[in-house]
Amino acid sequence: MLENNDSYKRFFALFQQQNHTRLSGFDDFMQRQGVTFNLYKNNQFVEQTFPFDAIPRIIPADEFARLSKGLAQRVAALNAFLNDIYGEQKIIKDGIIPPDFVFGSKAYLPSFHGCAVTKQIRTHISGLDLVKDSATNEWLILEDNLRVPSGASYPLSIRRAYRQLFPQLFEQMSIIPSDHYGDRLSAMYDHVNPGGISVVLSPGRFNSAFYEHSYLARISGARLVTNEDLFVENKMLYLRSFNGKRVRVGVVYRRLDDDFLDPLSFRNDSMIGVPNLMSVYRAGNVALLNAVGNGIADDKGIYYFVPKMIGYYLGEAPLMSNAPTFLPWFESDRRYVIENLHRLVIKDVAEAGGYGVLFGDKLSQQQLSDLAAHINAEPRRFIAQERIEFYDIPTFINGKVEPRKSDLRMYIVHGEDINVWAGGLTRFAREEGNYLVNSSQGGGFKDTWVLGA
Amino acid sequence: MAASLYLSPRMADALLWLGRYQQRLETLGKETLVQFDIVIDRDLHAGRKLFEKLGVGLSYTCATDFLKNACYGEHDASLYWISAQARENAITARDLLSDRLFGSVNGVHAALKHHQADNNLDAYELEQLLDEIEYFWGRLSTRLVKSRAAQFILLGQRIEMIDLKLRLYGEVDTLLEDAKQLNLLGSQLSDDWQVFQPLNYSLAQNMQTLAGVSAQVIRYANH
Repeated sequence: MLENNDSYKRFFALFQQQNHTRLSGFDDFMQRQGVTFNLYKNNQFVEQTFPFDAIPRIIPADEFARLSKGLAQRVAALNAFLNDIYGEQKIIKDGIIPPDFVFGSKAYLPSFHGCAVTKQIRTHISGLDLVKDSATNEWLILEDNLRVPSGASYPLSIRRAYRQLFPQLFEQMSIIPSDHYGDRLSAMYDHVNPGGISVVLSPGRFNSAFYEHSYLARISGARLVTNEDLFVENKMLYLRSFNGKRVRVGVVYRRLDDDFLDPLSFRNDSMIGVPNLMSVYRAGNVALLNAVGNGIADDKGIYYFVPKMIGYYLGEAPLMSNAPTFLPWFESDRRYVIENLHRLVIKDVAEAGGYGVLFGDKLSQQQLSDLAAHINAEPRRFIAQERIEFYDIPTFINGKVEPRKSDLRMYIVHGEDINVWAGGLTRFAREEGNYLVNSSQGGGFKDTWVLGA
Repeated sequence: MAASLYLSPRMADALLWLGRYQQRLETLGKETLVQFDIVIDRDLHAGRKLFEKLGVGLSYTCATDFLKNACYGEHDASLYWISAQARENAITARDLLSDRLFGSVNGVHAALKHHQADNNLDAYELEQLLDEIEYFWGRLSTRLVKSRAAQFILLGQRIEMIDLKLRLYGEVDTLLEDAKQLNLLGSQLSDDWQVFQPLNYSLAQNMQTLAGVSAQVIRYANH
């Protein structure tokens, strides 16, 4: 079903008055500015532009106000969960979350138990994936990304082009500016910084998200570095300076996974990590954004328990809901899942980026039977969700406006307060009826306009 | 603490080479157009002589063929190759460059790539691209000029100017102003800068000194 509220009607009324030949300006802008993501095709390095659609997702003010409260609440609970899991583990002792779901997860890092972080903040930058249910008109949380959520740079970059190409839309639609995101990051760095400069640590120029790394470094006033620029001495992290001197680093917005951060603590074949970085981290001499070991909180199995966490840690009722989810690990859920496999969506908890997602109605009898066997053998490995009929939003396809499934990643910066960015990455599937919107599955992106009151 | 004051050797190196490749692109682009005009009806070998000075043996049959080989030939002095190097360094140092500055470098490379695919680069198009290449220096904005990043780009530009004057024209006595600028930038970036005095030395000695300039300002210390 197509989302077509008054805001879209207003947009189209205004957009009709615009010079549509200017739409080509978006492609020119992205080409000139190299707004790309990198990938390897047949062992060849390719720089690819992210397909962009000019029809934005539009979120009215009252809707954003609700989203903002709900997402901030969720991040507060997830942060409390992480501090608890790497501390007293009360939520397990109190029987709210079964121990298997924490200790059986590869994302839980027991060696970091008791490792404190500056200001008790672990969820510095979160990316929460949402869809809007067409049956209830409510936003539902699909996924929490608390490790290295990416994508914010694309709507940020394109907004500038949009304002230049179609200024009348911004004059007449009361769209909240999104360019404060860099300032929010910068203020958050300052809040958690134990002393020194801030850097964005990138795996390097050939990483898929290098454009984003350089963009975020620039807008947040951090230095973009790779591991060769940094070194550790006496549990302090330093940037090598061109003049042979050194300068202390206090904040590392790391854009690489835990596994690659420090070859002496994690994968010893990591060529992109900083040896001994964990000794600095454990001593409290550097803030790593996000914290090490956060993967446990965005495990797809743990996702099920987030509404319970909100009650447990905050004493509040959740302001936003999960998509209806079943854990085959529970006997009763498993029976339901096996009986209804043909109409559920099954996700492998170890996968991401749209991989490991199976739609029951697309599977043959044999495939359903094989999947049921897998679920019975490894119930902790899967979750099952009711298929959400989330809204399509209008999208230009070959010059015509057509409906396309779209989700929304919203970014939350947690520093002195928890701030939900009034923008976000809207991803859309390029084929009609496709529910997978991930860029790795060929999806494109839109800007997200939050309207002022 | 302001992170903008600090640059790693890797980043400083990328900025310096960005300046060098941009200047090389500009100078060789202009020289290519000059020689193209001569090759048309005055001296068929003029283009070959230019590239010989750069250690590149160029073969071609006419002015159009010369232009194609100068721009896209498989050698390290082709305009396409130089623009690709400038772009790579701009990508590495991108967080320190304004959108305009980056867009200028990226745009020139994209245009050259586009013309290569369409096989339609002519002298007129190259002239337009040279305008864009020249704008790069103007786009070193006031804010950036005051920054370390700009100092390294300008240092690279100055090194390349001197290098090309020596290689292409063998003129030591025209280097006084360039040396003055180089020494100014060098002394801003290094506490123990060795003053470059080209007039006292031969062409070969100057080339040797020039090769060591970047090591004076960019130090890969073993911490």
